[in-house]
Amino acid sequence: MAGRPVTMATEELFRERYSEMVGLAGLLLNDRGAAEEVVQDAFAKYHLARHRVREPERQVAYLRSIVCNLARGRLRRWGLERRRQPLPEREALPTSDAAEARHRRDTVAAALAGLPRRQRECVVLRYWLDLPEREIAATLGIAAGSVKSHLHRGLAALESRLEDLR
Amino acid sequence: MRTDDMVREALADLAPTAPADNTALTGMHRAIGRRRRRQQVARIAAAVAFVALAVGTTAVVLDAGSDPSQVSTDPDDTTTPTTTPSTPTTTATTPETTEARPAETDRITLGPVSFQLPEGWVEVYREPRSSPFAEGEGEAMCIAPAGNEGLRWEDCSGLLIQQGDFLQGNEQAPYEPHAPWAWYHATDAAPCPTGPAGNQDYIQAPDGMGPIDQGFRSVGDRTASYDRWRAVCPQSGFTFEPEAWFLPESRVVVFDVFGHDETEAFLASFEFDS
Repeated sequence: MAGRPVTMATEELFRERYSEMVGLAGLLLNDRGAAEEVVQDAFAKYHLARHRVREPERQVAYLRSIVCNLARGRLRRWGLERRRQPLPEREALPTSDAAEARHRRDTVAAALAGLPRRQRECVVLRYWLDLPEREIAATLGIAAGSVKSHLHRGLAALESRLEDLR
Repeated sequence: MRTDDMVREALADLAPTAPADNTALTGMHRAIGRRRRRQQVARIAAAVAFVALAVGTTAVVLDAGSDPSQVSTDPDDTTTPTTTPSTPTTTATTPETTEARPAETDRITLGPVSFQLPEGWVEVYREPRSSPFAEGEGEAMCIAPAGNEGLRWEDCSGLLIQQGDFLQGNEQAPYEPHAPWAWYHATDAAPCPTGPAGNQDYIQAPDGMGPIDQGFRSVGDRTASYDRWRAVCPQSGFTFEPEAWFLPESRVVVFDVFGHDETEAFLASFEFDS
């Protein structure tokens, strides 16, 4: 890669995990372009601070933590109004499978964006990355009991908001 | 369909995908460059601040005349300062305090140090500390006015004292003196301490996260690395200046997040095993 002084380890991790991290940031930010920027910056931060990670198996967890932190900072900058997007107005019933799929996706995205930040992070880490609660707690720097509580509340809120899709 | 299954399916559908191609890799390289430049600027700013502090310290020492023990440039008497002091280096300092030491029954031992609880204060908690991002373990203790009343940080309205191999620094990194916001241990955005729990007036550092004051201060008969930072709640306007005293040999750091009248006497009460 262009002879840049990035270690092979970072590049290897980048190639292995970039797409996953963009997915994570994209679900937290609901903006693919911003997600890619955040993830590239996250790898940069990881690269410059990688000496902090003493155990190799913690590398990905550390990277996920950085992505979550940077996504959180981006949301903060965007402001409260964007973080709490209202649910879209009810549209006319979809008339085709494609329209129905789009409607379903938009509704879920809006419901997810409407969750409090911490609940959304826990839901995404649990139900998209399939991380166990212990790993989510380590990623977010919170207690495992808090993860359980956020997941319970987040799922209950989504259940209520997605009732129409059943 | 169960809600969790529906959420799983929807998230898989919603999650954007992006290839780790050369365009993305170039984006990472540019981000590394930006971060390196910011680090260099921060280092230069820190160096300028250190020189300014050294000049100021020299002036103070000269003003002190026959009492050079008021200033030491050797934290915990173990590290070598990066500048040559203008007076003979002292091996220990004896901070001035006119307060009588309270009863020995309120004396607490934490690792190789002991200290006196301020009058009316209690030990609120004492628990282990570690980080997934660092080796070693440490111990954290909160001492506060009885009832732990008042503004709280890390569920402590008084002073936080840590001791051990692992001392918490910024966002779970190991503690480093003079590091940006080394008093801020969370990896999360912190709500303003003056508001209700979970408020969204997240504290910020509008003037940067580096220390606004740094140097050396007495702790017992040793000398500690000292830092003071500034934090602001943007919505309420509440501003506070967390302070930290770090003893590298004893592996002890004391945090005073909101400032207490008792802190000076508390620090003076420190005694060391060796």
